[in-house]
Amino acid sequence: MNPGRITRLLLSLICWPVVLIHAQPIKSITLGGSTTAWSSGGNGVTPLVVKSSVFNPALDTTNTPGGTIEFEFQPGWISTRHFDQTENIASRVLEEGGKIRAPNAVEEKRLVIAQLKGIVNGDHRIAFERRPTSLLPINPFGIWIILDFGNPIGVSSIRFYPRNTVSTYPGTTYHNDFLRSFELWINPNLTNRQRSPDALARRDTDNETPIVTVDIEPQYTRLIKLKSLSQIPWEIDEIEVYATGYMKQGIYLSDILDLGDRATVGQVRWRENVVGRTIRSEVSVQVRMGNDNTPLVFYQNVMDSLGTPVWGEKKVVEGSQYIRLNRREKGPIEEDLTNWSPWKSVLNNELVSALEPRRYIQLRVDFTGDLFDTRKVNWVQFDYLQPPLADTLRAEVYPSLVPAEERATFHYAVLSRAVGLVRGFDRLEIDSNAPVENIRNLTIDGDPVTFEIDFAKQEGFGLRFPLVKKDSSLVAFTFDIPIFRFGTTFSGRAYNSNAGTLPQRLQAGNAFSFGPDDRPQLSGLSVAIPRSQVGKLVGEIFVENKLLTPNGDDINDAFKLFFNLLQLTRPTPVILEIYDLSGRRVHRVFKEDRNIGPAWYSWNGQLANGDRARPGLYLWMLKVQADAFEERHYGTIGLAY
Amino acid sequence: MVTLRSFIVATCGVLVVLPQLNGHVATAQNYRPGGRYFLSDSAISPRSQLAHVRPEVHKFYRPRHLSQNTGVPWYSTDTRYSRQLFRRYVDKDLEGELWYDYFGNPIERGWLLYQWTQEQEHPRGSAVWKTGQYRSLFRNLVVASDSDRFGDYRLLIGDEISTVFTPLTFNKPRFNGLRIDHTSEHYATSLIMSRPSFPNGNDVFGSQRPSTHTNFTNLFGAHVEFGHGAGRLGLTYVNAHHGQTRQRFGEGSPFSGGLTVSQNVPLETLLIRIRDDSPDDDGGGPLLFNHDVVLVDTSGRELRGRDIGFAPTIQGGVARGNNLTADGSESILMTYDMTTLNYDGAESANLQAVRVELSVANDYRIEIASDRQTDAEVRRAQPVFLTAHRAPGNVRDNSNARSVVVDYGLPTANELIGLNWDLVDFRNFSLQGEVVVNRQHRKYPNPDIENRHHVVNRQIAAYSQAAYRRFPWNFFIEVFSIPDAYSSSAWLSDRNGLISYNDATRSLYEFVDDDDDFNGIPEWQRVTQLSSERAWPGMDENVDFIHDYNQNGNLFPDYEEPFLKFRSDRPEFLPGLDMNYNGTVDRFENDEFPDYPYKPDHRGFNAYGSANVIPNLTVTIGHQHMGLIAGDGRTRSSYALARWTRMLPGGRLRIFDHVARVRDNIADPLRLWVQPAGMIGRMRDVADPLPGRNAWLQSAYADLETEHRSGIITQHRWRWTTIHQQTADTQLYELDVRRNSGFFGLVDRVELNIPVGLAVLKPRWKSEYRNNRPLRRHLPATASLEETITLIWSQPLLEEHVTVGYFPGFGRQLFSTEFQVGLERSWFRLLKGHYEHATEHFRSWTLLTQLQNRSAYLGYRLVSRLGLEIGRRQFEIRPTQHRSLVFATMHVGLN
Repeated sequence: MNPGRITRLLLSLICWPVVLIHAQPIKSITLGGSTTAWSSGGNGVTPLVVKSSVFNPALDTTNTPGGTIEFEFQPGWISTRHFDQTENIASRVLEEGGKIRAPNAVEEKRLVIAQLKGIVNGDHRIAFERRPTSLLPINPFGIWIILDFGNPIGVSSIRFYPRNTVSTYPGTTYHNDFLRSFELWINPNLTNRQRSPDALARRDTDNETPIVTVDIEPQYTRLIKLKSLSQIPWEIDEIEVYATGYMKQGIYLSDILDLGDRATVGQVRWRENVVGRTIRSEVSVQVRMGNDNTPLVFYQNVMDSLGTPVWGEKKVVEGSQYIRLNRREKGPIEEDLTNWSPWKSVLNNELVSALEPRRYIQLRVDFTGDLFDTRKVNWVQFDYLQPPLADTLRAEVYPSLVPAEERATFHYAVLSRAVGLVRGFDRLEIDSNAPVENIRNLTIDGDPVTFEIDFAKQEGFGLRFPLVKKDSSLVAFTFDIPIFRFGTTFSGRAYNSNAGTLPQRLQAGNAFSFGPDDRPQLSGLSVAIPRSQVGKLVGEIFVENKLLTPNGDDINDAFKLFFNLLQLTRPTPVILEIYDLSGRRVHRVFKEDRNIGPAWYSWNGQLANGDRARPGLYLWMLKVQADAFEERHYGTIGLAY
Repeated sequence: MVTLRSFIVATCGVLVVLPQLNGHVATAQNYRPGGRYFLSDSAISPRSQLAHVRPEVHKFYRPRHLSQNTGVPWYSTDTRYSRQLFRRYVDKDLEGELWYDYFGNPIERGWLLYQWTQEQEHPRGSAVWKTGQYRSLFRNLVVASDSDRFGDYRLLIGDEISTVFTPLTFNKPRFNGLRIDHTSEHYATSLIMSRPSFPNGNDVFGSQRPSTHTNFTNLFGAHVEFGHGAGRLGLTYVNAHHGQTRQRFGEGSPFSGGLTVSQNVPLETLLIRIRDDSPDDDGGGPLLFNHDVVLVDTSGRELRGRDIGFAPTIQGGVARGNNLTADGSESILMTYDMTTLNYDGAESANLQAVRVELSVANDYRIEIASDRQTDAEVRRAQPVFLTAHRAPGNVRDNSNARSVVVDYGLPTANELIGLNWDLVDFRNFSLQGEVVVNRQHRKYPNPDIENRHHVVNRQIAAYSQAAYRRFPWNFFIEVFSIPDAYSSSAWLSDRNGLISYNDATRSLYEFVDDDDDFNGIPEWQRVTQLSSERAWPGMDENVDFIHDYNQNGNLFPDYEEPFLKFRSDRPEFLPGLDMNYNGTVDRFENDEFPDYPYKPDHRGFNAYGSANVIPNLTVTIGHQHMGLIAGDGRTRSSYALARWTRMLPGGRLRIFDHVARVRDNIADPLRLWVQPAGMIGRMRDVADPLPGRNAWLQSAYADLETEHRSGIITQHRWRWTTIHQQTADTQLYELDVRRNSGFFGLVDRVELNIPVGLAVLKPRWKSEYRNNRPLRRHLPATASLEETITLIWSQPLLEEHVTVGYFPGFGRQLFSTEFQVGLERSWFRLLKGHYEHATEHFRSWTLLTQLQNRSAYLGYRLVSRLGLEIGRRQFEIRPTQHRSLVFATMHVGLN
């Protein structure tokens, strides 16, 4: 065999895995829908949730902290937890965040707790008894029973009764020991006289029915407080609480998903439906990425020789170790912000902001809504690319301060870092707010290369160049553009043509030293304008033909006004009007919504009714009606025939 | 007594008594008739003189307290009560102790009532002492006074002194502290001082002890008004500041305050939160372009975070390009871990200032917190964010892009400097107003430097009203601007110097209280002051501190009760203006703001002109233009109203109508008193349904009262309100609002008194028609008609009393005992929908018998009642309700 062919064969065999890796298409992971059941959390590592407890932080593994997410109401969709008015939800007070207590029942604590649990868990054998005996002088009067659901729930009905009423309890006469006088209070929040006073739902001092049902207008309720006003011994077998509508808030946490290796994460998408009124509900998705599968840091208190914690001293331990520690040794549990990024919110179909390629990812869906208004999410999906385009793509623009309106020359640099296998990039898309001009001098590691301009529009421009994948490679180029806005940012994204449309966002930072005044610490992608120009909506105004002679001789036939609109991010009403010297408006030249950038208008002396304005001296007024203020500019024009 | 003392003084005084008077010589000048000597000053202390030195064994050497008080020599053993009247051992006039001033001059024999001292460079150096005599003898109020021909002077120390400077500066119905007033012909001044953090002494098992503290919050203020005749001009200054007595006197400024002991330690964490100032709108949240921190160390060197690699951890926010935005409930949280700062000797401990520079745009709200600015919990205190900057309005187009500098400091003082003017009816012109500069002081904590970095946030609030009245014309205009950040509150330090920034009850002292019902008891809870959240402004027109709709104080509103309902009409029938368009007549509103003349964060004007077109007919046309300064909202309304009163033969007709074209999206939530049937009345939060987002509003009222010669009295009351929305149907659906809503109600009442012998028969009839179509679409429209007939028989019993004003035929009212029988029959028809507490038709009857006697007893007047009430209410579906009541009551009064 030809040695050359053998060499090529060997080379191709060696390179095959690399080629395979690079040929991998964009991958997607979908949560929910028909792909992965929401309740599975994505089949990763079930997230650890820290329950708030000041002295003894407890851990739980759940995808729905507080049980606030509905999986079953509409299969395949999640929303805030829904209640259909037929289910007794009283037992939720025994779940996370909830509690039931009788603060002024001073008997043995364990007995009271056991009885209180018994009145919400459906066990008809146990009742909360306020029946004094000769040995135990229990006070039946003034006793509070407080149910705290932890979160507001749309309560519509409350029912309570003694034993041997709803369920038979043979051999007893408890059915007569019902509460004959009571007050029932509710509160959507924790009681606070000033901010959230309790509201009385029912006061009955002459109750004659063992089974008391209190129907209330469905409303969010966190606390239900039953107060006895009866001196006659009584008991409660069960307190039943029926709810309707959706919970006010809900949190869904995905499992910690292992992508196998570092990955560039692309757009995050989701499908949502509105239930009820749009303005009453909201859903947001957040993402975070990490290097390990535990986004928490566990601390162990350092103990002294006497076995007491040394104040302020603690050491990091593994989660598995932490669980085995005794109560005094357990220190705080904090978010691991070293190996994990903070939570970053993302818009639908948008890139996550500046997340470095990492191996683990977790998603969080937050719902807020109203009793009968919520959002439902069918699926959440994101794309990722492995290996990533680069481990870090740091970019900067220079200079970072230029005068507004004037065309300025900018240098742009992207520094690529690769600590492992990367895919590289051969395209850049840069955002701008004006058409860019004269893109030139593109170099890779200082060497000029040929490049193509993919597009150049008002919103930005794109470049295509040879693949860049080496560690510390630097792509630099130059372009001209006028700046119209304080805080103009030339954000950008890198692409690999072989890896489809999944981009990696450029991080602002120091990529290159463009000169002695290019301070690394101030490097970034934002460009400022001089302080004197900040806050202006209209730049310099150029007026052509202050003396107007509209006689058709093409000389001074029209008054022309040129200006630049600055600063605005959305179309804003711009008005040019002509006034006579008495202040009366004689003509409105235009009124239209305009976006940032240059604009020019002219007036030929003609009025709205087709007549020509009389000769004389006039005032023109340019108004920009922005949200923050209205900016006005004036001038004079003379009209002669 | 006098004779005995005179004798002793005359004979033994010089030899025996006077040498015991601390060495003072008795003269005619220091002898007071009645036997009491008063002491003159001695330049030398102790005051023993050589005249006391005698070679005698008995104890006599020291001046004796008792003898000098009683004028009895030491050897006196005379207790012969058979001849002398018993005498107190110590003259009652001489109880108490002798007190001296700081010059050493004796002040008074008596008791210390009140003392406030502040000793610097000393722990627990601030002390306030209100003794038991202050509380028991003087009931928490002492007034000292003096006057001369130029004016009058008063000094008051009290726990509940009603104090009003101006509406924007100081207005407390119960000021606890010291107040000095001086008034002359041309000016009036008031000076107030207090330690509001601990205004009272300590009560230790009923014994009053001084309340001594190292950390304190002091208040002082002054108001002076100059003027004469119709015009007055006033100046006001109010300041509350923190301090601590460990510091040297004069360290810092009493105007800018100081940091408490617990606060004045190096920062460990600094937090900046940026969030949407109008989270309920769709988009337009803040945009963060850039940020940096500037650290100034104690040598004055400025370090930029970017230069030294000191950057925050940023959580939250959504990426938009390389910028971050935070729409809706999203927020951007920047956390600076100050403990990691270690650059060229610069550490958190030697910083004197920290500034965070933020390039932001759109509708931002920037809040700041630190590990020193917390909820003051001892363990795991949570930082509490305080607002540093808010974007004016609701900007969404980036037109307010700017660099905002957040200069960190902990609040140390709050200061108000005001100017007010008042011109009353000067040539038909009246002018009133006020402008106040609010200076909020903050300081950066560092225990190692004396002159701490001091930041002042300045806010200006102002309002003015002008009126011109010349018959038949009347013109009025009011302009106002009260910024949201304007504050008449001061933080209060606890004994450890901690301040809970999220607990207004514990940590806020209000210069201007919230007392919407003007009963002298603020509605909000604040530490060390009386409060009651119960408030019913405008609902106590007879000023008896009882709600006009529940005069008998039971669980039922009067308009639901038998017999009482005849004279009590529901609140829906009450007329009035609703100028903030929240569905509640303004005079019944109770909010949770300080009682400024205008609400915080509001700016705008209201102007109207009115004319008396014909006698008793006034027509008014006006315009209101108002907006939130920092928040998102505005009110534009043009309105017209007409009032007409016509006196008829034997009656009166009144008509009132208010029509307005309104565009209002400023929410004005309220907390109102409700008295549901069968339940305890309570305060309820009432959200503003914003009925006038874009609507025509009309509110009409008319009543006609006549009294015929036959004795028949008729009353008719008519109320009609309509709201016609101008918004598109889709938007109305989203808002859960009906296009047309309103209320129509009609009450007719007839009564007659028919004398039958000495008895009186009182037939009455009342008809109430209500038709309510609520604004909210999900609430049912309702209509109902209730007819009520009442017959009351009043039979005088026993003896008739005759008085000077007695005339035959009119003496029926002068019987002390009366027997009354009343029967009421009522039919309630639910014509449409249902009410919260009335879901079906019903019929009811009530029989009430009562034996009433009025008589005098020990100077009081007794009213005793015995009786029986039985009643029945028959529903269409629900079972019949029965009611019975036997009563025996006795009231006593002075009238």
